Amino acid sequence: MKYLLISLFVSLWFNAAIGQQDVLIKNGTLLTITDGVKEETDILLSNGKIKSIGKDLAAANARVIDAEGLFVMPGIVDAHSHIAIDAVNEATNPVTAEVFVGDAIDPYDIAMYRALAGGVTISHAMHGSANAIGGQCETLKHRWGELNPKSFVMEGAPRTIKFALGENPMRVHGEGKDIAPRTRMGIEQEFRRSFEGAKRYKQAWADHQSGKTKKPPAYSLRMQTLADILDGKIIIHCHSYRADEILMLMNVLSDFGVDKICFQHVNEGFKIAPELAEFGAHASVFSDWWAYKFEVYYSTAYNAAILTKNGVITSINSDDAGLIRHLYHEAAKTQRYGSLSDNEALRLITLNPAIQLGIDDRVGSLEVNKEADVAIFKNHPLSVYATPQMTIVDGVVRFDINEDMDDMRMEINPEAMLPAFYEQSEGHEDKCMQGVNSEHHHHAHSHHQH
Amino acid sequence: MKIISSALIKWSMVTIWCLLMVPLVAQVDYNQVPNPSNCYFFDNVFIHESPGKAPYLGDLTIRNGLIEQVSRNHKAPFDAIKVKVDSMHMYAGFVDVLSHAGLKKEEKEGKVEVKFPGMPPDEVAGITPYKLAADAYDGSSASLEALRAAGFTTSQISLESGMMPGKAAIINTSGNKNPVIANQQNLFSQFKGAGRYYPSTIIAVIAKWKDLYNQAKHHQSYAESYTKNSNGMERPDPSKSTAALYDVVNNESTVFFKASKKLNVYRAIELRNDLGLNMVLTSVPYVGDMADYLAQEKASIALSINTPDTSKISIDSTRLAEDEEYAGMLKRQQEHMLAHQQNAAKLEKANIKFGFSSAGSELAKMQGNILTMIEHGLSPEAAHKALSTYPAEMLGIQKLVGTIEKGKLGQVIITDKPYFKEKAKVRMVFTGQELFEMAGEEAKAKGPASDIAGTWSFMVESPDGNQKGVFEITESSKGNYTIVIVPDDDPSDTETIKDVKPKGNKVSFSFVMSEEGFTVPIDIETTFEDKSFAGSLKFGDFGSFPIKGSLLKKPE
Repeated sequence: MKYLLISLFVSLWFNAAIGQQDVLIKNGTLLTITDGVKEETDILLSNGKIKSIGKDLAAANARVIDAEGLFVMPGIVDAHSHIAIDAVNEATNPVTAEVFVGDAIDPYDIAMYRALAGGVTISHAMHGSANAIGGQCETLKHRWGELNPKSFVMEGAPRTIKFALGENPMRVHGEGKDIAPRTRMGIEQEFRRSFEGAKRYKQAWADHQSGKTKKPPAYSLRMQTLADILDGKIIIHCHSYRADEILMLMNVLSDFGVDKICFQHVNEGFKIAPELAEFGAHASVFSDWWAYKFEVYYSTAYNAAILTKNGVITSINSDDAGLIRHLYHEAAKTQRYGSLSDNEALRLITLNPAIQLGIDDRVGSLEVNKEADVAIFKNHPLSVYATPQMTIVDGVVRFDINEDMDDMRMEINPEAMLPAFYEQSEGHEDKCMQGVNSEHHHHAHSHHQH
Repeated sequence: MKIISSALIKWSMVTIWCLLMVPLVAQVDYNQVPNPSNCYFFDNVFIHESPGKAPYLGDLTIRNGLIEQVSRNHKAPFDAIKVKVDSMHMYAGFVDVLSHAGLKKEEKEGKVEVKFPGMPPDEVAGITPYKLAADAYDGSSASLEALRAAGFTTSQISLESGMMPGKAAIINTSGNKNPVIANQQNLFSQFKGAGRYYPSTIIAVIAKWKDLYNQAKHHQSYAESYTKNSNGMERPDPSKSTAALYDVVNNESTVFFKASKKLNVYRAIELRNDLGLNMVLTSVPYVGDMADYLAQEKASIALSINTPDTSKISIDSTRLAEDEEYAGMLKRQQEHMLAHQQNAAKLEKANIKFGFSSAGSELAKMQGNILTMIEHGLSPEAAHKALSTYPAEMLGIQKLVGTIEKGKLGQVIITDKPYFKEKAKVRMVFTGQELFEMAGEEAKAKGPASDIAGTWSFMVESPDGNQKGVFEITESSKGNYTIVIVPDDDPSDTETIKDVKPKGNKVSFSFVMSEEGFTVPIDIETTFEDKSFAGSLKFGDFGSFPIKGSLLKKPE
C-alpha cells in the first residue's frame, strides 16, 4: 500500500513544515566552506538557523539525524535558473526592466523538488535573454510543499535584473521584428539610451518634488526600475559570451557609475579575467557547455578555474532543470580541468553564487547564525559516487532520499490521468529563450540558445 | 412566400428608414405588442423568500416590475395576469457575479499597423477600460436565454478581450432594451496577454497594471489641482485609458478579476494588496486547500460553477492490479477529485462568503453541480446565499435583488422541485417585467424525435396582424422532414425547407425570405405536442413573434 504511505508522508511533511522541530545532525563530515573540513562534528539547526556546530552537541526534542560517514555541506545555490516560474521572456520589447518573474512563481513545478534532490536549496529564477534589458529576477528558496507562491521568495534578498548581450536580443528584435537592436552596436545603444532616459526621469521627478515643475512626469515603472539600477539598488546579471561585448558593457556601466554586475555564461571570460577582476564583476559559468550557437564556440572547460585564479568571484550554474540536479558534478569538473582544490570547487556552487546574489551573509557556508540550508551527501559531493541523501531548507527537511516516493506532485488535475513527468515538465526547450515566439528564431531551433 | 405579409416588409423598410434617421425621428417601438396588464399574480406557490428561511405556500404579486405583495394569502388584483404555478417553488432570481453574456461579438478594428510590438496602441494591447459593456449590449443573444434557463435573473456582464476589456454593466437577463439595473460600472480584468504585442506574458500584464494605475493616480491628482487653479499649469493630458481608471484608483469601481487558475488567485490578491484595489475574484477554481489564506486576506470570491467531471477518470483494472505506480497515481487523483468537489464546502467552513460567476461555466450542468457541492458538505443555505444574497452584496445591489421582499425588483424563478434539495428544473423566470416559460422536463423527455409529419395550421402573431397558413410536413427519410409553407393569402407563394430534424419534440428551421429586394433571415423554433405546436419566429433583427398551430390531419 505504497500510496497510503504517500498520503501519510505528505501529511507528516506538512506538519513538519508548520511546527519547526530542531534538527541535530550528528557525526557528519562538515564541509563548512569558510572554516575548513570538520570531521565527526555535529550541527544543530534551530528556528531556521544554524544554532551551533561542534562535538557532542545535544538538544532536547530535536530530530536527530545520524550522519556518520556522510558529508554535510551548505545547501547548493544556483545563480542561474528558470525553474518554478510561469513566465520567462517578455520578448515583445528590447527593454522590459519593469517586468518581474517573482510575480509568476510556480510553487508546483516538479523541477524544484528534483533540484532539492540534487542538494540545491536556492535558485536564482531569471528572466530570459530575449531582450537587452530583460526583467527582474527572483531569488527562490526551495520550500517545496508550501502552497503560496510568496512562500518561496527569499525575503530580503537584493533585487536583481537580467541583461543580455549578443545573438539572442539581436535575433529576437533585429531579425525577428525588424527593429533595433540588430547588431551588437545596437545593443550597446539600448543600454545607453535606457540609462540616459532613467537619468532624465530621475531628474524630472526630482524637479517635480522640489516644486520646480508643477506637472508630474509621466509615471513609468520601466524608467523607475532603470533609475533603481543607477542608484545601485539592483544587481545586474548579464547573459554574455564574447569578451569584446563584456568589455563594452563594463565601459557603459562605468560611464553611468554602475558597479554591481555578475556576467552569466561568460564563455570568453577567460580572455579578460584580469579586467573582470579589476572591475569587480562576477562570473557565473557552465562547467563545459558550449558550441550551441556561433558566439559560443570559443570556450574552454578551464574557464571557471582561470577566472577563479584571477580573483574573479565565480560560480557554476545550471540554466536548466536537468543540470540543476547535479551541480556538484559540474563543480567537480573544475578539478579535472583546472585542478581547483575541494574548497575552491565547492565554493563555485555555494558561497560564490551567494555572493553574486548578495546573500552571502545569510547562506553559502556552514556558520553559526547562518540560515539552516544544508545538504547531506553519501560520498564526497565532488566524487562521481556522490548521492544526495537529505536536503534541508531553513531547518525543514524538504528532501529525504528514504522518503522519496514515486509521485511527489503538489497539484493534480482530477480530470486527466497523466504520469507526473509528462504533466509537469514543460517541454525541454531551452528555458533561456522560453516563451519567445518561434518565428523569432527560425534558426535551427534544435540548437541550444542560451 | 408570405409567412410574413408584404405589408410587414414595407413596415420593416419604414423601420429601417426610421433607424437610419435616428437623430431626427423619435423612435417608437412598434415591435412591442402591449401587454394587457403589467401586473402578475403567482398563486399558491412555495415561496423561498430568503436563504435559511423556511418556505411557505403563498402568493406573490409583481406590478410594473416590482414586488407589490408577498404573503401567505392575498387576493389577485383585478387586473393581474394569473400565472399557474401551483405547488411549485419560487426563489428570488439568481444573481451572477460575472458573465460575458448579452454582448455583441467584439469586432477587431481592421488591421492596425504596429511597427514596434513593444509599444502597441492600447486597443491592440488589450487595454480598453473606457469601453462599456452597456454599449455593446445585445438583448437577442442566446447567452441571455441560457442564463435565464439556469435561473439567473441578474448578471454583471463584461466584454472579454485583453487584460482590461472594459467596464461591466449590471443587467437583468430579460433581453429587454433597457436592462441595466444599477449605475455601478465595475472594471473587468484578467491576466491575459496580447500575443505578440506588449504585454505578452503575465509578468508584463502585472507590470502594465501597476504602470496604468500609478499613471491614473498622478494624472488624477494633477487634474484636480489644475481644476482648482490652472494658472501657470500645463493642461493635464491623460490617455483615454488612464482617465477611465480614475474611479478604480478612487475605489469607486471594483475590479472583477478573472482568476480561473489557482496560482492566479494568489497573484490577483497580491496585485490587489500592492495597489489597494477593491477586488472580487471571478471564475475561481479549486481553492479548498487555501481557504485559510483567503479568509485571512478577506478575499471576495466568485467561484466557477463547474465541478470536475468524474466520468473523465477511467480506470484500467488490469493495470490497477499489476502496476503499483499506476495504482498510487489513481489513488491520488481520486483524492484530488474529492477535494475539488468539496471546494465550496471548504470555503463555507472557513467562513468565506462567496458567490458564483457563470463566465466559463457550463450552465446546463449548473443545478447538478450545485447538488454535487451540497452532497460534498456545502449547506443548502450557503449554496442558496451564493446564488442570491452574497453576489447581490458583491455587486452592491442587495437592496434591489437577492430576496423576495416587497419593493425589490420582481425577479423570481419558479422551479418544479426544491432547488437545493433534489434535481429540479427552472420552469419559469420573471425578470425585466417579463415572464419566460421554459419547456418542462416531460416535454423534453418525450423520447426519440417526434413524428411531425402531417398538415398543420400555423399563425404568426405579428404587429401587422396575424399571418396564417399551413405547414405541409412530410418525412423524407427516417427522422428527416421536409416542410412546405403555404401562406393563406397567396397559396402559390410557397417556401420549401428540407432536412429538418426534430430534436425530441423541438423543431427548429431557418430560411431567408426575399421580398421587394429585401432579404430577411427567418428563424423558427417550436415545440411540437401531439396535436399542436408553439414557439417563436425570429424576423431578422426586427424581433421575435409568437407562432403557434395545430394538427389538421396526419398523412394517410
